[in-house]
Amino acid sequence: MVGWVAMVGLAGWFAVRTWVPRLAAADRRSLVSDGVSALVVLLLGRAITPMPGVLSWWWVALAVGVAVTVARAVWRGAGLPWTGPAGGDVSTHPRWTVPALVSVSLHALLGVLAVVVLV
Amino acid sequence: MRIGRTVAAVLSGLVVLVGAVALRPAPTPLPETAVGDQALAERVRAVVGEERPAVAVAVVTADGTRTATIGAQPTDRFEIGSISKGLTGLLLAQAIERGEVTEQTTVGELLPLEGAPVADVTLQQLATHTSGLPVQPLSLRQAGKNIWSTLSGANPYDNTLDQELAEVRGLELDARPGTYSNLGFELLGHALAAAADQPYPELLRERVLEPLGMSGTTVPTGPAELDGRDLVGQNANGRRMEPWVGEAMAPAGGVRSDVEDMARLAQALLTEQAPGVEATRPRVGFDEDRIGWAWITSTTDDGRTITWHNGGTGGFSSWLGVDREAGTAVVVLSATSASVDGAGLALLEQGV
Repeated sequence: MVGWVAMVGLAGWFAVRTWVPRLAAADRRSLVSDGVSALVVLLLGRAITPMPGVLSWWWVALAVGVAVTVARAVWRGAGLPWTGPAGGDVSTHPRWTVPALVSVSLHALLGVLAVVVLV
Repeated sequence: MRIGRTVAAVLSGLVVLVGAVALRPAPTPLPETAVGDQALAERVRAVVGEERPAVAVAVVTADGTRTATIGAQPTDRFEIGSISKGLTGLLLAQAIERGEVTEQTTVGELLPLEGAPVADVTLQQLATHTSGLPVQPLSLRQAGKNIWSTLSGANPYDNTLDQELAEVRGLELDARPGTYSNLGFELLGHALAAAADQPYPELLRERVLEPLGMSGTTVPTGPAELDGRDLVGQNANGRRMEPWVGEAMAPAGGVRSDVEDMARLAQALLTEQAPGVEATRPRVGFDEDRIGWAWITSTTDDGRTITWHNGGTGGFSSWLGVDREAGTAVVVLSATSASVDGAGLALLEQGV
């Protein structure tokens, strides 16, 4: 049950941050963070939560939803800076900073490690 | 630019999509074809379900032995898990008959555990899960192994005997009597091996496997001892699991066997011809049941008395049950961790 709550929660949050304009992520760093979190928790849930019978297809449905959201996030992220203005002026804010790239790199590494261990 | 963005988005989504379908958390389904008794195979398919890569079953009656294997060959080996404890129980009964030990021999007389609380535990207590030992060593190291096993499919029971003894020396015996203890049977098996001055795998081969003609059964203590006949198991979500092999765990869950060998064991238990069959005689209460030396005796809803043990590892499950009054014994072996207890009991109670 906890596994399903975590999977649905993070996949849902990733979808909200990608699809809902008012709550959408303002930069790539946030999109990568939310996306990797959703994918890692999906794999973690697959590792620790028994899913007999039709439940396994519910997991696939959730993962397909994340896949569609990933596609949307990639499309949308191409037009965003690596780091967001955090309330500042987009035109004067740098499109990337070292902390932002470190954060994105760490999340990507976490995602790769999760795939290697959990799959 | 816009086309490139769209292509990148579609490709990224497709990668995740393909992964989602490929990683559906379900075991490989049973194939259509079966080897052996086809009617038995169909009955088994009905009771165990389709979601497991391989299953084997044996039904032993006065009329003979019927076996069926789906997804594997009859000589392919499954991990029998804790049915290994039953074999260790047979060894205890034999060791007592031979005068090598008594029920009251302490584990400290046979293994180097001087001064440790566990040294005063008797073999009888180990064999009936009344020693006060926990299921596993209570250590951060073991907890870490269990977590890593859950995440990665690794074997959490790879301790050598020396490592296990080091972990057990500091344990307090405060587990409730009746606490199912893998650790207890590990110590029991190695204590019996020490009494016979042989490694556990050799002792089991000499005193149980060879007399029963179980020539395909092995007790590997490391992955290098496995070969092409050893099946790879999956957990209930279809993940391929590492084999559970290790020196320390062998007497509690490290035996691998095929359906034909397990049928020989079941027949010997049914006819009470198994060496050390005294181990199956119930001695103390065990929750709602009674237990002998590993072997559990239960009374079914319709009043039948069944002697049984089950097994479960990372990628396998197993069940062996004997109804002596009805003259029937059943073995079910499965290459997933999803339990086959209900299937085994159904086959034993309802017939095939």
